[in-house]
Formats: sequence, structure tokens, C-alpha cells
Amino acid sequence: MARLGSWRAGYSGVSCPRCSRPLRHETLQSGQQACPACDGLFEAVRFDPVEPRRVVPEIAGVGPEGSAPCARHARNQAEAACARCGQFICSLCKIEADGKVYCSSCFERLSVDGALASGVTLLWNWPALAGTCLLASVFLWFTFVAPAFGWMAGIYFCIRGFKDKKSRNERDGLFTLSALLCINILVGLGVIAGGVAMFGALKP
Amino acid sequence: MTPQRRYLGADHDMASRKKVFRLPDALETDEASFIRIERTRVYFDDVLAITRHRQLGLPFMVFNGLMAGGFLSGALFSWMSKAEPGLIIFFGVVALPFVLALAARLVFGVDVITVYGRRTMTRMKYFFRKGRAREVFEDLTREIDARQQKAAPAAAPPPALPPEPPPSPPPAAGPA
Repeated sequence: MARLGSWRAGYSGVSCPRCSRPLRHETLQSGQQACPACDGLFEAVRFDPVEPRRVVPEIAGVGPEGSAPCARHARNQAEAACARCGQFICSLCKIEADGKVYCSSCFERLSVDGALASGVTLLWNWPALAGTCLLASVFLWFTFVAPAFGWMAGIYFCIRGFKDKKSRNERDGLFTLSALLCINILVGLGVIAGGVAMFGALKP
Repeated sequence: MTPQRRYLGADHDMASRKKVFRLPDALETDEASFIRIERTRVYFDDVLAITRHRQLGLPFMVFNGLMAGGFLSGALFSWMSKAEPGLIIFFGVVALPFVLALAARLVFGVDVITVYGRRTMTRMKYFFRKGRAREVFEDLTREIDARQQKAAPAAAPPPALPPEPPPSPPPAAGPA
């Protein structure tokens, strides 16, 4: 199985679309250009998104009776230590994820590496599951277990898929799910008919 | 309720299948790998660059070239060894789709649109629909530009206050 999140792992900003060598955003220009590494031509449009304005209020003064200061905001009182790098962090820098506290730079790095389970939106691929059940019902017919339960699981996965799509207001993939549902129902009817015929034939 | 998304394009390779959708304020990528789908977004506010280029795709060319070459060699070998015509036809028919795919790729190429955000990226590939690729590229460029222009005043620092007028001189003391 291919590793999920291959796009996010090691992503470091703008790169050459041909050879994936990193390019400096500051030197990138809009228009037709060649990659300095591979000489490949590509058309680019550069954008300079504005950084969101950050207002850093002083939460509390740090004195002899106070705790250590934040590593990034020297005038803020530290509230925790980063679970990855150990730096003291104030409540502005503190990010809670997976039951641990991280500083913003460690959180970003872990998110890019795909190491934070909560930093990734993972969904079930219901059509793939329903399709697998369908294939198992058809091609593993000689096992008797796969055709007996495979189509039921396929129908269940299709229904879950429809519910998922509806809850997220998505219309793409509905045709695939409908087709899989119909085929699974047909296979189920076939299995039932076959079972009835087989048990009927076995009757004395 | 989640806004309706619109399918824009896909980027399929041997390892994974990615579909790209457009939301009102972002591009959403669904990367499917058998039983799981990983969803990522590139928000228009965060886009650093968008690129477009045409490529042949080395893995595709190598695979199809090897298959076409292999089957055509089989046909050639059968012809040279005076084998039955059925065998030559068989090898020729099997090689035909690979030859056609290779020729189509050489003629058309693949238009690739890549959108780079601050934290993630997304990519769409268009084999035949070049007009669609151009339309998507221009549409995205326009939308991202408009979105970032709109966000600029909101993120800019507040305008400096006008300088205070100099303090007025104390009233002169009148004659006693």
C-alpha cells in the first residue's frame, strides 16, 4: 500500500514542477522561465501572501517570583515545555495535539512529516471497500464464506459511503457508490438464489 | 454546512490516486490509497505560486515503450522465423494499445498545473483537455490574486495616527 501523505512529507515550499528541486520564492518571477537545475521550462505566477497580523500581548510580567520566560516571547510567562524540543512556551505558542503540548515550529514540522495523527484528515475509502467485497464475493465463490457475507458487507459500506457523502455535502462519487450498491444487491440476489437452488437440490 | 465542492482534475500515478476539488476558498485534494483517503487543502490565502508546464512523463513512456518494444519484437521474431501468421497478428494486436498510448503521449504531452501553498501543494494533470487546463490555470490565478488582494488590507498594520498638534503656548499673563 502506498504511503499516505506523500505530498506533505518533506514539503518545503515552491520547487521546480519538473525536477522538484527547491526554488527560492523570493527569486521566482511570474512568466515563462527555466529551472536553474534542470533547465526545464515552465510558466509560473508568483504570489506574495500577506502574513496574518500577530498581536502579542504581554500576558504576565516575569519577575523573581514568576516562572521562566517563553523562548519566543521574552516578556511572557512560560506555561509549559514543548514535548519535542523542550523549549519553554507561553500560552500564545502552546499548541495541544494528541495529548501533548508542542511549540509552533515543532507542531509545523511534525505536521509536515505526517507524524501527528490529529494533524491529518483521514477518511474511509468506502467505494474501495465495497468494491473489494464485491470482488471477493465473485472471485472467492468457492470459499462459500466470501459470497455469503461479502455482498452484505459491500451493501453496508455503500450505505456508509452515502451517509458520509451526505454529511459532508459532497456529490462526487455518488455514481460509483450507486453502481456498487446495485451490483452488490444483484450478487446478493444471485447468492440467495444459488443457495436456495443448492439446498433445494440437496433435499431428498 | 460544508460548501459544495467542484471537481477540477486528478493526478494519478502507480502508487496513489489523487483528485483535486475546488472549494470557494481553497483547493481540496483527496489522496486515495486503498481503504483510506487523506484530505489536504491549499487555501488561496496561502498560495505562494502556481505553475504550468507540459511534460511527457518518464515512467509512462518507459513502461509503454518497453511493452510496445517487447511485443513488437515478438511479432518481428515470429515473422523472421516464419511462424504462423496468427502469432504475428496476436503480438501485433497486443502491442497496438501501447504503441497508440506512446504516440498519443508524444503528440499531446500532459499539461501539469501545480499549486504551491505554504504548507502543502496540489497538482492536476490534463492529458487531452488542453483548453480545460488553460481555463483552470487562468481561473485559479485570477481567484487567488483576488483573494490575496482582498486579504491584504485586513492584514496590513493599522495606519499611523496623524501627528498630534504641538501644544499650544500657555496663555500670556495679562497685565496685573
